[in-house]
Amino acid sequence: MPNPKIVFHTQEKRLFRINKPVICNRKDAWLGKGYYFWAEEIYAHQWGNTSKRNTGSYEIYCASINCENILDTVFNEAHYNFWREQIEMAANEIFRISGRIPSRIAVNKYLSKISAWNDVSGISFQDIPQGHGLITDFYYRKRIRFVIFNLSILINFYFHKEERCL
Amino acid sequence: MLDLNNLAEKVKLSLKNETKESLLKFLEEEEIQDNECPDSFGSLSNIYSSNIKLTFNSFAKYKNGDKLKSPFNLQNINPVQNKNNYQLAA
Repeated sequence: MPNPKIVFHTQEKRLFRINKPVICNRKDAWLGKGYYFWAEEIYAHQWGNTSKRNTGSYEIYCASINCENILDTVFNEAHYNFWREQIEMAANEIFRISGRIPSRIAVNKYLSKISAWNDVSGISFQDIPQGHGLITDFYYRKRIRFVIFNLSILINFYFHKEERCL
Repeated sequence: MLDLNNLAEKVKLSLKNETKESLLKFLEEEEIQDNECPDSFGSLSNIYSSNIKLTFNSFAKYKNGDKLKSPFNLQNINPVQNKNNYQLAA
């Protein structure tokens, strides 16, 4: 993974532009509370058209992030295996000890509350894969996202473009 | 550089120190916070992203900088059938 890496952040268009990314608290955020980015601009547009429609337009911001302590679960096999094992170990142990099946949010929060986990500045991960309009049933495109847990690895953040929702 | 072995040890140690009571308390607190967390996006969060199709021509124009043509054809969005297919949020 290049370091630093440029990533994309989509928000609804509002009266004022933002000068830092907006933290996501939504309960359906896959990896919990954090600042979310797309690795490719095309998915930042897609996100604007599907989930940032409230004001009729959306804005895309670029950021450079320092990837030194990012867990790269998309391209780094060791990182992926480590991440998968930690999730499964935590889920198994929580179930074994408590008798309850933890939610996705609970597992992510459990890992993030372990102090050593503070070393992990963020995670790159693969969303539901995507296909191409001319090829049926072939979802070969990785939709890669980044979640970062604090802004200390953000090198810069700047407005890129705005578009009207389709 | 992340020290994965050290991290894995810390996760193991943390889990080893848990009791049934401590984990139940953690899970219950988590449920309360989850229920308090608003999801203002409603059914949009259930859109299954694989149903959003890119067309080759529009994508090519988009890549060539033609801003007048949208790279997306959103006509094929269907509500998700399987509720376990969560849409990512940010």
